[in-house]
Amino acid sequence: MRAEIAIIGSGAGGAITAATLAEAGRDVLVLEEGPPVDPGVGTNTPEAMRTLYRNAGLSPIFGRVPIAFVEGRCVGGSTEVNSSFWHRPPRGALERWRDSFGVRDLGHAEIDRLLDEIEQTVRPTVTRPGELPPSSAVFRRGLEGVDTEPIETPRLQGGDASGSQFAPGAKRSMSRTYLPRAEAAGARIESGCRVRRIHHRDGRATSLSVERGRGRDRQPFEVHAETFFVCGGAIQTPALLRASGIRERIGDSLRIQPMLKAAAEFDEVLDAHRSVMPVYQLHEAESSVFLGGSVFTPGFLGMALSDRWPENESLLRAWRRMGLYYAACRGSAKGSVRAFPGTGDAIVRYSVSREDRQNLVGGLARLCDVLFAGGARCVVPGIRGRAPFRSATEAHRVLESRIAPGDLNLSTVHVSSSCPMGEVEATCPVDSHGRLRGFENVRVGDASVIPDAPGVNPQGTVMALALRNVRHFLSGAGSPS
Amino acid sequence: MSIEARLLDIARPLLPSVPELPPDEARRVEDDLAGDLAAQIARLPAHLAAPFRVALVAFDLLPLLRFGRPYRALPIETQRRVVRAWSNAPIGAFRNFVKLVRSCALYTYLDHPIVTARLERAGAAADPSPSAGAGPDPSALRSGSAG
Repeated sequence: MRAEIAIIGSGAGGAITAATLAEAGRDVLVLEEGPPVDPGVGTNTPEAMRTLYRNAGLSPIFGRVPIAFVEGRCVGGSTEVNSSFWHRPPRGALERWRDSFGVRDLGHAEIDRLLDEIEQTVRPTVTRPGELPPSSAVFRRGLEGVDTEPIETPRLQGGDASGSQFAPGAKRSMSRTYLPRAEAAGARIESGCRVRRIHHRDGRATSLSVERGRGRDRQPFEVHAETFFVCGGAIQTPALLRASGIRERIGDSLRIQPMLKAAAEFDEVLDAHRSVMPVYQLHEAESSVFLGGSVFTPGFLGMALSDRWPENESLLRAWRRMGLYYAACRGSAKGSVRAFPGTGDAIVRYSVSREDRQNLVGGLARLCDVLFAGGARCVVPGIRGRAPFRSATEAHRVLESRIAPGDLNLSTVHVSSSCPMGEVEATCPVDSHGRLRGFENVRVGDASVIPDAPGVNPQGTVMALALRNVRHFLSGAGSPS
Repeated sequence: MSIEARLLDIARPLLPSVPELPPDEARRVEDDLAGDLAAQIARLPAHLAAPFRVALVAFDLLPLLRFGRPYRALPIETQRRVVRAWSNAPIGAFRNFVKLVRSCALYTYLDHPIVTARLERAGAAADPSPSAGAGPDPSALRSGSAG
């Protein structure tokens, strides 16, 4: 197979890169490992978990405390299965990336202009007045109860409470926005194709070894292109580069935003499974902690209650009056991504730091303040063996005692920075505009290049940086001198 | 012994008693659960699947030392004790193994369409909401919550 430009991955970075290049008249081939999204399956059912998520949703991050990590593996990538919360990169982040990583030409004006343009397509939406989902209403009440102004976070989804978060077509993910645009402009999208290796010689990538299908049905083939955009995400991109023998500074500085969940029982019926997930978030600027609501089904509730099972089983009877919420933080440690010898599968490590632990436990205490102020009867913390809290006072008393890091039930959906961009060559394998150092025709366009954890849901940041960098490539300014 | 059977043996004593399922539905849900769990494990990359399979066999055989029978042949109450012992084991790998199976089992079971439909029906009868129509006093349901 041949193309002028091969793009590996069809998520937030790959899709916008493909559409931009195809609309500029380039011959584009997108290779996606996963299948197309089946509208009949939804995105959070057990069947979706097996088909649309990498490793059927069972991707551990190894470390002192194991962390459950999920990412999409389908046409559209994680944008098909995420919460679709939309944030612009926080103001302090761009300054940090310029100052600490030497990222050139990264200004608020330019990023805001790019995001204005992207938002014309993905249309971030807030809830229509009077249609606030009950699981959001109680959170809002809680925020007001702790004297915090509730600010709704826009989502790339219809803004009504009755529109199920799982309804096919409800979300403006990549398979419904940028990928159709790319195809309309002539891009070819090949799903079910796993790129095994990037072949290269003398600082130039020459071709890709690709496999279609699995097991005995596997069909290997080669893809030749002039330019390669690696957009597999913050885990798969470094794993592929390393499996291809490109290892210098690749996968050495993974950042994550670890999350500690809690289930809360209220007096009123929330029926959180029927509506969009809670739409308010609280960002604590001074501690990099953020709080919010999580996807809810009886199954997700079961998982949240499972750390103290069977004692928590009786709470299932109250499932219609329960919601799931979280405390998360910008992780302060650095993790790594390596490729397993032979298979190239990613091995991810991250050790939760003392600061992370303090932030998460402190964040959980703050979350309990909000939930009890919102009328919670009890809050079940994601901490092994801990009984449900009955009041904010009890939550603080318990959380201020020593909690072993290994007892925290951690997960994450936000990973980034495994191939940070910038001009500090000692730490940045990618230059300020996404070109892989040492290669004239390999570019990285996904969450790997975000210099460090942004402190918000990262999709907006990924898309803005990918658009910025592909425009730079099209301008011809990106060629190495 | 198939991986489905081994997984179901571990999952069965963990399954909630709510909602109550008629025997034919319970059987179907258990069959699907075993198949779904095995399919999840089959999706794991080799470096994760291999140790998991070893742990599965070890979990089944280790009770031989204490009870003279493998896990699968123990009465369900003893199986619950074994699961609890692993959940609180001093060795993190033991705890994490049970945590993984338990989380997957509860998620898959509770989001099974039959179970969800039963939960909805039970909830609608006990907890009134605009979509469910009028029902008895919600406190009837609340009394079932964990103390």
